[in-house]
Amino acid sequence: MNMRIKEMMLWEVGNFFLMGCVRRDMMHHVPTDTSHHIPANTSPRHTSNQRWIIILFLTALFTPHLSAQPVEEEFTGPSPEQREKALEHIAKDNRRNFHFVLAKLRMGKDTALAWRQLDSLLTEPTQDMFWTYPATAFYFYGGDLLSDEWRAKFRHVWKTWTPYRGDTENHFLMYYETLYLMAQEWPDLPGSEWFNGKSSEENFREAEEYLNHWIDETVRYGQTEWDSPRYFYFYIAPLLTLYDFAEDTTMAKRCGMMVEYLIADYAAEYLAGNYCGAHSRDGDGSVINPRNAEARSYSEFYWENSSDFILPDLAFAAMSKFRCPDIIRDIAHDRATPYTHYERKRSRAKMRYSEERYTDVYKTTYMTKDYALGSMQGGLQQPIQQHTWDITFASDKPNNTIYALHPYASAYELGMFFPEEPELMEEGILNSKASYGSEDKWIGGSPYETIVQKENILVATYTIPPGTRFGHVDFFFPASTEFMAENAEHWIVAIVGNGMASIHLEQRDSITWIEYPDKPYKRLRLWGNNIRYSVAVGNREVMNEGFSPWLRKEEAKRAKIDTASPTNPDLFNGPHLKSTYESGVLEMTCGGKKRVLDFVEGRIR
Amino acid sequence: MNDRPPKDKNSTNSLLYRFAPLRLCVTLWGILCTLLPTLTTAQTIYTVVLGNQNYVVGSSTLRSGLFVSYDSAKSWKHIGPENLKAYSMDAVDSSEGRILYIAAGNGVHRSTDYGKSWEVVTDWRMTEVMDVLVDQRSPNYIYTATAFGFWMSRDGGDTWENPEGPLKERYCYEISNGSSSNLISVLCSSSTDSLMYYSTDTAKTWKSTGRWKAKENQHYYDFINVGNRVLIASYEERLSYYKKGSSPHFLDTVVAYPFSKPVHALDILRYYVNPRILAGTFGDGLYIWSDNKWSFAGLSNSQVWDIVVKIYSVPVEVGHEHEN
Repeated sequence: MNMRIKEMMLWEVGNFFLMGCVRRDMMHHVPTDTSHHIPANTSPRHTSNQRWIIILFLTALFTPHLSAQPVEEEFTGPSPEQREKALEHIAKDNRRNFHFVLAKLRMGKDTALAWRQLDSLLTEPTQDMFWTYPATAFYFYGGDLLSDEWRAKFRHVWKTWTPYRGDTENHFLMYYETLYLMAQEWPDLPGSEWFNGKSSEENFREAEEYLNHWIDETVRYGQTEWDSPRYFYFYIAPLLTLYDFAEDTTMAKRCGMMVEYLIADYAAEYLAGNYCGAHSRDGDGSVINPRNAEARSYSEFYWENSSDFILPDLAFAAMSKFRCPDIIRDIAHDRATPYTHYERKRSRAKMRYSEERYTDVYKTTYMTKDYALGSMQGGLQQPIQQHTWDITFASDKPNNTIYALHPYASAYELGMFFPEEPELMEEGILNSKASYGSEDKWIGGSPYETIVQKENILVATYTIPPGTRFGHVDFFFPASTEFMAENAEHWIVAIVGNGMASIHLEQRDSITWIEYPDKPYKRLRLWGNNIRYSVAVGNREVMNEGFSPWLRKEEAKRAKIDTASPTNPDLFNGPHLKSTYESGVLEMTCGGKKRVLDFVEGRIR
Repeated sequence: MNDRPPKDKNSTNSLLYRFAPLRLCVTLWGILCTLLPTLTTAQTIYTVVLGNQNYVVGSSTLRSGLFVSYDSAKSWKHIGPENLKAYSMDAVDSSEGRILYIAAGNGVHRSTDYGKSWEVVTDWRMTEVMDVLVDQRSPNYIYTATAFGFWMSRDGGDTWENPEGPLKERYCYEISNGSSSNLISVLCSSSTDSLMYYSTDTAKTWKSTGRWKAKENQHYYDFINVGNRVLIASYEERLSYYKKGSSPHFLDTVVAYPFSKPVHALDILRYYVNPRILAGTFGDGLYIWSDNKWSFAGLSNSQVWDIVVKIYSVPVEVGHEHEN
């Protein structure tokens, strides 16, 4: 029997068990007229037998030999206990969204509330594709819970409500994932039964075509929304849902491979809960406190055996058949020997002011057990949320990062990446995203910034034309930083955890230190239109062995750095990940293990 | 034979009989008075709303898209998808409002039943469609300006192509044509400025007029002819009259107006003795100039991207609720 069919059978059997766990009578309490007939609180209590059934089911489901991931490989996480813990945690949340409702129903907690919330969610769809992807995940992962009446409510939404397709890579993935699965679920319907007037067949083909296009582009040329500590999170659940429920085994397999691809990309630049290096889209909060980024919820789940950072989408991951190959877990933890990891990505599509739609992004990340230094070449590659370089420390204290930026904001930047009138966008976005136009902002790229990195040394140059909105560069230092400096006007030596950064202020007009009594950081402002600094990073042991000799050695290395813009020919090049540009093949290696994601042949080797 | 009017006729008629030209004028005036309300209500106003203030993706469902008024902007009805990042619209004039197109962030939407039902006729390849134009002489030819290039359909929107040439991948944001010629002109961006391209062979070949000077020193969004002047909506001056007849036009008057947001779209209602001007603001809804003053005309807080006034031979029934 086909392995996948066996898995689906097991899945159905598992659903049967789970259904039993959450009370069969809930199936009969589905309201027909939802405005008047919301079922009363029929919350069941978990018995110890039921808990055992869940654990047995999850254990059986995720036994390696039954995996859809076909290579002889070890898969030790996430464990059934982790999955149950995640569901339990999410089920406690009374916010109204599909994740919490599904977890409640699965775990048998507050089920009456859950059904009421489901009814309300389906009556008032909102938030575009951020509504459709958890709704779709609910529909499939909770399919056994839904009566025909509830299914009809889902159907009604897809007939009458138009979700915005969005304009970013994650938006399109979410939008077409839901369209693919829902068109698969409701085949043979005419255009009049769909919000966009297209038939089931047309919607399915279009979604299939886009998803394959996205996969092919990503594995050959790199993502345009790359390594985002925030938006990484929004790729995983849609791909898991496709992996678990796409009836086309090729599509399901490709989506499972894409989950591996994305989490391997994360693992190579992972350090103690942090997504290190340069990012396309960071957040105002996560950029200064990297361990709080959404991506961490998946690293905790997939390779830290932890349930300490549970975010709502884990409800779906907990029910997914997908398991993280141990080689990815090993890549995330293999920091005994420092290494340099190179990546090549693409900019967000540039509409104006560029002759090329996508410009190449070259990333360099130096990983050690105590810190990571990562960067891309600078310039504008993403609007508003670009994070160009940083040091991330393995410290368990908050705000464990040091970096600098030129706070750039302009109609030019917005016009490059968004279609509307640049000056109107500038006016509007200054109102809606308060930090964007601020001289104190901590996130964003600048066209006047150039970064060059070799291993643990980075050189940054800023040529800021007179008249630019802000003519300064700001350094971020966490409040926990220990400073040692012989000449603070030119040298800053900052120690965070077991890492240490020596910053040489090579060129600037003047500096200002700014401290805040109520903020967990301090700011070093470098004034001037022509600014240059270099950063050398080591670990704290250097201080014991002699700082000056170390610094002389690092300065000698810095003097040899070619400040021409870097180029990496490959999509991935490092000790753990390798992928030749345009090849569509990613090779993972670690500790004698090897796993190859071959998207051309559609198989894992 | 006495050719004088009979005595028992009223005095007006008597006068009319005496002064035939005056009688003709009064008759014409009567016809005009009967016809004017019909003509003005035959004007269908389409307003395209991009979004509303403070909208960000995924924040909430917004009421945007296409609004229509059949009563000279007194009331508005939303037609088509409600959650739409819409930029512009066009209609097949000869269909009398039956065939409509919306240019939107998620592609081109088409209705063939006066806006009752809609279909997205483009796929994932076409996104950020900034403008749509029906070739009224060959209405199966539909042209679009998108942020990722020029696209066209030769079959009323059933299939689309992205022709080879200079506009294939260029940001295009505005498309127009001559009413009596083959000319199609497209405004595009370059790395530094706006470029105007035009074609006279149904988009087979394109020529560039080079940099478009009107955009060089001024971010202007729309204009209408009002008598011997041009009313221009721009970012810098917001709303101002320029004298026509010379190039460059000379600033005549900066218009005082009561709205705080810039005007992005302008159009004019015809058949009124004094011009009625519609001004769509970017975030403050719609205003109308009549009786020498600006009045709010609905669509609160909306970002109006485009206004299109169509005149159909058959007046449309009024009777929709006000959408303010």
